[in-house]
Amino acid sequence: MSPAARWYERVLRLGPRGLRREFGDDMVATFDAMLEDERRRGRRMPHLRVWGRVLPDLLVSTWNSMRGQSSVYRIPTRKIPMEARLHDIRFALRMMSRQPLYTLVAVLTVAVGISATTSIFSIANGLLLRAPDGVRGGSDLVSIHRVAQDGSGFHSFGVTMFRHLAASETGLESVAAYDTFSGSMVIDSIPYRVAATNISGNYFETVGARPAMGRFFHASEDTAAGRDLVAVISHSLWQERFDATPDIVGTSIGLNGHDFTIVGVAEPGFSGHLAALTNQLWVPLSVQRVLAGEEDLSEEASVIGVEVVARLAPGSSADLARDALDRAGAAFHETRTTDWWGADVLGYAPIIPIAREGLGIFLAVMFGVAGVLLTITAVNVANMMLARGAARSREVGVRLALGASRRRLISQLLAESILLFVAGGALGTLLTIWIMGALGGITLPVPIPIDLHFAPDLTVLAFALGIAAISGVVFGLSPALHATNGDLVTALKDSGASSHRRRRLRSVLVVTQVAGSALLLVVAGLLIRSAGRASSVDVGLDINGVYAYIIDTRDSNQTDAESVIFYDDLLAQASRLPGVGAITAIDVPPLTGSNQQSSVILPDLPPEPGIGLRQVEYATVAPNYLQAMRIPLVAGRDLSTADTRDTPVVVLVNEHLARTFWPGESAVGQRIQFRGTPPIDIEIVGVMADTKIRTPGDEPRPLMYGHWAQFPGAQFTVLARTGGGEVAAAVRDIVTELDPVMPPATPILYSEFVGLALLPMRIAMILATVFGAAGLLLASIGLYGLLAFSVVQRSAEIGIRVALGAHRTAVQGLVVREGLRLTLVGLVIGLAAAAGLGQLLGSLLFGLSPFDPLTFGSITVLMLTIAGFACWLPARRAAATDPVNVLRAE
Amino acid sequence: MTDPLRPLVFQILLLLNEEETHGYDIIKAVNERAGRSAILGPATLYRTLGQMRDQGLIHEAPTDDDRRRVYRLTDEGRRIARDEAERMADLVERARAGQLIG
Repeated sequence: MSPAARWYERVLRLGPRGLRREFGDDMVATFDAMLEDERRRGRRMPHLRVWGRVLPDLLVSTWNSMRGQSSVYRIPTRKIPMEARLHDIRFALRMMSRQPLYTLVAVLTVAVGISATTSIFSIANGLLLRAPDGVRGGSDLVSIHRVAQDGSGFHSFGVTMFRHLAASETGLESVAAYDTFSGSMVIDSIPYRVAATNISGNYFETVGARPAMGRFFHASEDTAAGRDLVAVISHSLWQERFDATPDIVGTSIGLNGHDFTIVGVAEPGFSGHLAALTNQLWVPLSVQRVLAGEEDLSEEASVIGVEVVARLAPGSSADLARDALDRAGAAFHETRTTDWWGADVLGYAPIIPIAREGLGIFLAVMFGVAGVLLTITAVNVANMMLARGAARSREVGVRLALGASRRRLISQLLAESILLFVAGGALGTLLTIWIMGALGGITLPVPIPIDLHFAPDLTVLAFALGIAAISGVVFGLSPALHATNGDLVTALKDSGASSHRRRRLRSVLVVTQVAGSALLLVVAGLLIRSAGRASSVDVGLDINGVYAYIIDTRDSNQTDAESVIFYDDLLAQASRLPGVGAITAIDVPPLTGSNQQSSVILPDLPPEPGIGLRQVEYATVAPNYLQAMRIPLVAGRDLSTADTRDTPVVVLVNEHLARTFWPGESAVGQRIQFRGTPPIDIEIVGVMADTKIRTPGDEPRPLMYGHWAQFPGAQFTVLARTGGGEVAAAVRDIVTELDPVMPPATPILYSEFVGLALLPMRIAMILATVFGAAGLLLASIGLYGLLAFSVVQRSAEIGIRVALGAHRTAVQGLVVREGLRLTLVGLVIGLAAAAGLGQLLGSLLFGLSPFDPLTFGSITVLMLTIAGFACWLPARRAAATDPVNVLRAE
Repeated sequence: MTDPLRPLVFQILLLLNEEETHGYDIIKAVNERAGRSAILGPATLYRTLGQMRDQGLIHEAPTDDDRRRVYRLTDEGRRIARDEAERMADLVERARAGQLIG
C-alpha cells in the first residue's frame, strides 16, 4: 500500500462506518490503482488529481448516507424548495443588516484571511499554472533538461545534441530550443536594450503562438548560419518603439552591431512562453554564434547551451518521451565524445526552469503562512457567531418549540455564515487585485524587463470564492449545530449545560488561534533573526556606496581584442573622475545569488571519486579588484597590470581553497590546471581573505579569481565606489562616449542588487510578521472575550467564594489560571508545528537553526505576557465582584 | 414494471451484463463512457454496489484474486436491467413518433 493510500484509509474513517467496514480494503486498492493509472499516463500532479476525485466523492457519499438514501431506484429527494432558500438568504441579509458593526467586522476579518491566501495563489497561478498569453495547449508542453554526472538536473543542452534529439523518434510532436539574452537594438542610431531570445525555427509552432503580421522563421533560416539575419518582434515592442507602423515587415534594425530584417510581429500579448520575463525580440538559433562574435559559425563549434521546450505527440507521455530521449542521447554519446547522463522531462510551468523547485518551496511556505492566517481569522468569526448564537438561543428555542425542523434552522444559520464568508471573499478578491496591482508596479533593479503583474483571472476568482464558501460551511457548521443542539428546556432557560458546551467549543477555538499565531510568530521571528544575520554578517568585502553597471560588449559587436581595450579605457577614464573612490570589474559579481563554477585538475592530489576533477567557484576580475573591494591579501601578491596575455597565467585563491587543497602548506606558487582541451596550466600567485560568494549567508567555498587580460570576456559588471559627487551618471556617460552603439549602462546601487538575492526572505519575513501580529491580536481578543464571558457565567460561583472569604488574589488566580492553561496548550501545539515548518524554511534561514532557542523562547515570553494581560482584565473584574449584588440577583 | 433505476445503477448493470468484473474496472468504464463531465469515485461506487447486492441485483463471483472482489449479475438483476432498457426504448420510441429525433 502506498503512503498516499494509507492516508486515504485514514480519511475513510471520517466517512460512513458500514461502508468502510465492508468495502474499506477494496476502496483503498482502488485508490492505489487510480494513482498508478495517473502516473502511467504521465499526467502532471497525479496525487492532486486523484485526491481531487476521491475527496468530493467521499463527501457526497457520506452526505447521501446521512440522508438515508439507500435505494437503487430513483426516488424524489426531499429538497428544500428554492423559495425557502431565497427566504433563508433574505432572512440572513436582514439579520446581518440589523447588526452592521458585527457584520462589518466579520466581513473585514474574513477579507484579510481570504486575500492573504488568494494573493499567494495568484502568484502561484501566474508562475506555475497559467500559461502566458499566446501559449496554446500548455498541458501538452514539457520542458526537457539534461541531467549531469552528479545527478543534478536543469542543465542545458549543446546545440548539436539538441539537433540530434529533435531529429530522433521520441514521441514528441516538436522539440524547440531557446536561449535568452540581453541585446542592444539600434533604431535611428539610438541604442536600446532589448530582452531577446535565440530560438529554433519551430519554437512558435511548438508553444502555439501565432503571428500578428508577416511570418515566423523558415527551416532554412534556422540552420543557415549567418546568411539570413532575420528577426521577429513582439507586438508591444512594435507599438512602443516603432509607433505601430503598418509597414514594419521588411524593415531593417540594428542588433548587437548587425543588420537584421524584421520578418514578422508576434500576436498581441505574446512575450515568450516564460512568465515574468517579457521577451521583445526573437532571432534564429543559427545567429547565436554571429551575435557572440565567433568566427567559426558552424553549429559543431558552438559551446553555448540551449534550453528545450517540446510538445507531446497525441498518445505519448512524459515517461515515454524520457525513455526515448535516454536512448537517443546514449546513441549520440557513442558516436561523439559528449557526456550523456540522461534527460529530465517535466510538465511545463511558466517559471524559468531552474527557479522552479526553489519557488515551489517558497510558495508552499507562504501558502502555509497565509492558510494559518485564514484559519485564525475564520476561527475569530466562528467565535463571534458562537457568541451571537448564545444571544439568540431563546429565539432558536422558541422556533424549535413551534415545530421548525432542526435541518431548516441549521440551513438558515449556515446561509448566514456562508453569506458572511462570501462577502468577505468578494472583498478579499478586491483587496487581492489591489495587492497584485501594487506588486506589478514594482521595478526590480535588474537589467532585463521583469513583469510581476499577475492579474487575477477567473481561476483566482473561483479559488477565492470557493475557499470562502468552504470556510463558511466549515466554520459556520459547528456554531450552527451548536445553536440548534440541546433540548428546548435548557435553550429556553439558557442555563448551565448548553453554555458549558459552548464554553468548551470556544476554548477549542481560542487554542487554535493561539497555536496559529504562535506558529506564525515563530516563523516571523526566525526570518527576522536571519535577516539580521544577513545584513550584519561580515561578507568580507565592502559594498557601501558602490554602483554596479552591467556591460556587455557583444551589444556593439566588439571583438575580444576590442573588448579588452574598451574595458581598460573605461576603467582608466572613470578612475580619473573626481567623485570616483575606486573602480573595478568582475564578470560574476558576488552576493547576488548567481555563481559560476570551474573544474580544476590538481596534479599532486588524487581526483575525487566519480568526478575526477575539483569544482571551484570562479570569476574573472580586473587587476585592482581586491584593493577596490577592500579584500585583504593574506599571502603572495595581487593580480597586476604586468600580467598580460603573453605572461604566464596566474590566479588568486581564497584561504578556504588554500586550506582545503594544501592543508598546512602555502598555496602560493602551487600549479594547477583548468580543464580544457588542452588543459591550461595556471599558477597561484596570491591568497586572499575569505569572502561570502553567492549570498551574504553563504557557506565558505573554494574560490578562484582569474585576470581579465588572460581570460577576456564580453560581459562584466563594473563596480564604482563613490567618493562623493555624481558618480552614477558620470560613469554611464563615459560608456556612451567610448562606444555610442552601446545601450546606456544603468547604474544600480550594489546594495540593492544584493538585496535582490535576499528578496524572497524579506517578503516571507514581512508577511509572517504582519500575519503573526494580526493573529496574535485576534487570539488575545478571543482569549479576553472567552474569559470575560466565563467570568459573567461564573459570577454566582465567584460571589459565593468571595462571600465565604476567598481572597481577591485567589479569585484573580482562578480566572488567570484558566486563561493561561488554554494559552499553554495552544503554545505547545503552535511551537511544535513551527519546529516542523522551520525545516522547510531551510534555505531562507542563512544558517540559523530552525530550532533557534532565542526565537522560540522570546515568542513564548511575548505570547504569555500578552495572554496574561488579556486574562488579567477579566480577572480584575472577577475580583471586584460584590457578593451581595450577585447573590441578590440570583 | 418496476420503478426507474438510478442512472449509475443501470450503467453498472449494463457493464456487468457484458462481463463480470471488479470495482476499479467499473469506475474506469463508467468514467470513460460518460466523458469528462462525470467523476465516479470509489466511495459512491462501493456504496452503490453494496445497495445493489442487498437488493439482489448482483452477487460476488468466486475468484482466485483475493485482493479484489468480482461482481456478477443475478437473474433478478438481469430482469430489472431488461425492464429498465425496455422502459427507455419505449420513451425513445415515443420521441421518434413525435419526430423529436429521426
